[in-house]
Amino acid sequence: MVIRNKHAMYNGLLTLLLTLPLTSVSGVATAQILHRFGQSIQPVYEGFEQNSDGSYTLWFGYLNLNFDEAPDVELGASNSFQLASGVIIAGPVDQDLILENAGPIDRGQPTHFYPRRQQFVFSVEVPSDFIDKELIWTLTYNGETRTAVGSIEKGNIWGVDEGVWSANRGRGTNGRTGVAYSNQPPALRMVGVEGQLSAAVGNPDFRQ
Amino acid sequence: MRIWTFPGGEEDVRTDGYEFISQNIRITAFQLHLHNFGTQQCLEVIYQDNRRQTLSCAFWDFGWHIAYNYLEDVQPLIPKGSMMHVTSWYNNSTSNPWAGDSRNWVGFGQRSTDEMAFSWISWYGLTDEEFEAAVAERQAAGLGAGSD
Repeated sequence: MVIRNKHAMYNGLLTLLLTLPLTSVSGVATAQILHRFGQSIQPVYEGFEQNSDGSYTLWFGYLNLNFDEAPDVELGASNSFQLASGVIIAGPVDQDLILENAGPIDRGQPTHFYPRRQQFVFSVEVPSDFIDKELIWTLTYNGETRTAVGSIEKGNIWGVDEGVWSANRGRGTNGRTGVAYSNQPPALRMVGVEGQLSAAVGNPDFRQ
Repeated sequence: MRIWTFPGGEEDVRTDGYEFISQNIRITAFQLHLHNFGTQQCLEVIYQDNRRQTLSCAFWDFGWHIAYNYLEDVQPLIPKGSMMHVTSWYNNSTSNPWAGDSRNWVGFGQRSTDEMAFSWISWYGLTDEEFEAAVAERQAAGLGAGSD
């Protein structure tokens, strides 16, 4: 069979977006079961950015796993922040890791939780020497405790810049207006090879 | 409506997606598109009589975004009325070197450290006559019906 024309081929690029609810799956954790009520709330660490004075801003959001239930979780043991050091696994934090001067449990987190994913809901500022520490938001609801572990480690993963913000929240109403941002091309350099390089057809090895 | 959730520490999480095929098609390429936590993806067709056939499965390495082009004589021929089913698997634990911080939950997002579950499939449509001719050509070549 011959492709009838390019137009047909380009129109034939089908994208399957895997967003539909699925049937139950045995043997593995499933990521797609839909619940209207009865589920817990997953606090989410969104990432951090460094401020001009050297301090850091840590961003948090949440995923209310319910599609309809929009609960209130008052500040306290079920909705609190703790300061820890040495957290290596997800879930409730080992109390031995909690630092003595944990700071306030109220860090501006919400107490009313809208259904589903809410990104970049609030931020917490930490000092420039916030090294080897974790700021942990713990939420307990419907009998389940979940945590988000905020730190300034792994900037390649958790660094937030205007590109991240724009890609996830857009510009304008949901974005941060007034902050200039333009994407930049990467700069590449081959270690040990400086100056202009050339290659020829049939001889792709530029070193010859 | 994206309802995936990949808890921190979870080593084997699965998502499923479906797309109804309203015309006869010939698939020329399959390219999974996952992010740091993806491990593998499978493409399956569910025919109208509920028979299921796996077309391709591929492991995923975020360092390589590979398009798998089918040889012409095995390009899947999918009759209209079928359902494409794509299954993806993820690992948000320390056993996945790409999962940089398995202490934390991951969900859909644009960053490499967020997740996606796409399958980019290149195809073109066939009339009923073209489809029947393509199936007959497969059968004549001893390669099976081509569409099942």
